[in-house]
Amino acid sequence: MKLIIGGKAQGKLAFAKTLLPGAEVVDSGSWKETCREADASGERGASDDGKAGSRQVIVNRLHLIIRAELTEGRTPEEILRELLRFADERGACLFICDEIGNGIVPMDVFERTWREQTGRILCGIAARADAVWRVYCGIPQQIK
Amino acid sequence: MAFAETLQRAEFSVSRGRPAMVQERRPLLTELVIGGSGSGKSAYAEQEVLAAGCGSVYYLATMRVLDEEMEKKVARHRNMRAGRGWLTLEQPVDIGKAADVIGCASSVPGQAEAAGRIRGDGSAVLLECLSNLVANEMFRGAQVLAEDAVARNIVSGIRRLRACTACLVIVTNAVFSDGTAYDEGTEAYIRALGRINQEISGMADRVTEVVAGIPVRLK
Repeated sequence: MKLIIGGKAQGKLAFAKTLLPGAEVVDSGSWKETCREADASGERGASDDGKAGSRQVIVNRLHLIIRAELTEGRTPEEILRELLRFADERGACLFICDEIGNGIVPMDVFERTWREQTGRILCGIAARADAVWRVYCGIPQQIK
Repeated sequence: MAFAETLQRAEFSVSRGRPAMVQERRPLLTELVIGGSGSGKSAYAEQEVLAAGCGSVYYLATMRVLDEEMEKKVARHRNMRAGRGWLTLEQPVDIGKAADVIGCASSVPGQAEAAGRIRGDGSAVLLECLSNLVANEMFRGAQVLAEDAVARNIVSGIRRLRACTACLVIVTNAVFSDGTAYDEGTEAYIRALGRINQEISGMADRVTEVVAGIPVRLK
């Protein structure tokens, strides 16, 4: 499992594609859709290696997925567990997530919770990931 | 080294025009400097430009002064540069046009690049900063220009500048990580700035993030 973080519009996806050139890019912003698309791509790849879900997957915009899951009442622990399970079942899984916690802490409870819990989920993914990059101005820095 | 001395040195090398002098110069430098508000990126960028030891040192100002707060900001920055021989050019839009004032070998980008990079004519330029420039280009009165056109125009202007300077330091702003979903105009602005940063970092010799006044080298 790999993780790429960075601000908006920094070139994260372009860098991810250089790491996993053959990977399916899932960019739906919804977890249900992400699982559906990743499974469909796994089935399409089944004739190559006989194993569903063993293909490489890049999950883009994880921050939006986390936002949607929190909106539906999932706890951060459940979200993290689900993300790690998803990654474990794939041949290679790369998560891309915007850094969203570097502004004024919002007054709104949900906006505040989203930023904090996204940060904590990223800590959980980073702890388990074999490599983590931060992309800034198109420049990848490997931080783990 | 005192500024007057560096000026003399540069004039000496230009007047003699010996190829050897070109080799003795510090290598041509393009640097992108990024940091948050109050990070110390301006002070660092100014040091970098002065350290190049060039004959002419230009400050390329992009801010449109609209109110008292902006006047104060400009005054603070002017004081920081006072007495160090800066030539200030106001260029809130069409940044490439500053190359005409600084003096380029050619206005054709490809030729200028080739001629200028070899000639290295002794000018150092501090462009401050891209966030203002992108805003000025994009939001002209009620009109909002497309992000593609804005990015193309600015990047090609910077290529022109790069071609006629020995040292070009460009300051940009970190506005990408606050998690806020803005209106479409602002989102387009953020995407344009992000893309321009990436293109400039690609052509730059150095990319530096300034954090609490500390320069962290990214490239």
